[in-house]
Parts: sequence; C-alpha cells; structure tokens
Amino acid sequence: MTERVRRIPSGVSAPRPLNAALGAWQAAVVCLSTIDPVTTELVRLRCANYHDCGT
Amino acid sequence: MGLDDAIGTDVAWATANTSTVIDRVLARQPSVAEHLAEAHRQTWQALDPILLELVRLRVAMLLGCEAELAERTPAAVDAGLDEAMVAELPSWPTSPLYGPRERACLAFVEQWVIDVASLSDDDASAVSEVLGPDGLATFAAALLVIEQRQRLRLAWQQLFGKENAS
Repeated sequence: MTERVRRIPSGVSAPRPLNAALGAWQAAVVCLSTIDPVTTELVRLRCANYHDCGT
Repeated sequence: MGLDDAIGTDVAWATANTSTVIDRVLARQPSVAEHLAEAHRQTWQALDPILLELVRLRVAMLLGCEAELAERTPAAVDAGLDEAMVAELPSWPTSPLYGPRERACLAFVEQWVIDVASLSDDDASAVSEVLGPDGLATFAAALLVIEQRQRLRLAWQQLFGKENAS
C-alpha cells in the first residue's frame, strides 16, 4: 500500500479561530439528538469516505 | 419520525418571510446556528475577501444556487470587488482578468465541488504555491464552510421553497 503524502505539512493549519469554529459547528451537528446516533454515524462515515478522509 | 421532526421545524414556519432559509430552519437549533454563523464569520476573516467572493460565486454557479449568485458580500465589495471579474468568472481559465493565483484556487474549487475525492496532489500543490502551505490549509477550511453552507441552503430551499427577496 502506497503511503500517502501529506498535502499540508505537519504543524500547519488554518487560523485557530477558524479551526475552532469549524470544529464547534461540526460537533454541534453531530450532537443533535433528533436523528438516532447510528444513522448519524453512518452519515458521518459516508461523508468521510466521499471526502477521502482517513482520519 | 418525519423529516420535519428530524430537523426540528415545520414547513409553514420555515417558509416564513424572514431572512435566509438557513436562519429560519436553524432558529430552532440555536447552537448549530451560532456555530455555523461563527464559522462563516471566521471564514471571511481568514482570507482575502475578493478571492473568497470569487470562490463563493463560482461554487454558486456550479451548484446552481441562485440566491447566492444574487448577493455580494459587503467585505468583498468594500475591498474593491470588480464586477467585470465576476462577469468573466465562467471563463477564468482563459480570461486575462484572472492570474495564476485565482486560477490555481478556482481549479481547486471546481474539483472540490464536482468530485472532492479526486482532488489531486497537483491541485493542492498549485494552491500551496500561490498561497503558501498555511494558505492552503486556510483555503480548504474556508471552502468547506462556503460549500456546505450553500448545499444546506439549496437542500432546504427544495424542502421549504425559495427564499423571499429581502
């Protein structure tokens, strides 16, 4: 299996306020309780797959 | 459980004549609304507003988001957004109004919107060359917010009807 090359060097990121706001938004969405956690997790994993997100 | 229950709203309420469909639908999910609004605010703080406005409009063109196309972000207008550039946006690969910086970023945007999983190392490197590695990280985060907000807007317009002109 070919090791993936980092496109963004380790330690480099978007500005902290933007990263924090983005993380808080995604956390707030995932924490909604009107959709059951299994469906929420399936959607999250499908999105990760679509976005080729290994993390 | 119906969709209305799932998102915590109802059609009659969500089509009320107030603000955007995002504001209306998320009014009953204030935590999500505030975090999305904050992410949106931070996005406009993090990047050149003219570049970001061109990105926002190109995403709107690709997704067919008429409401976004009809708007101009004040920060971009204040920074001197050129409407001639907006008019030439569909022709960015060849238009003389666009330079290497805008072209690298718009190529990245188009691949992201059409098939994000197929973004190549070359697409990313091109943006990194013109914005720097930290700029690439910022650009990707900003594009995520811009694109997801528009997709939400489009999806909810389909469910609750077009937005009224403000």
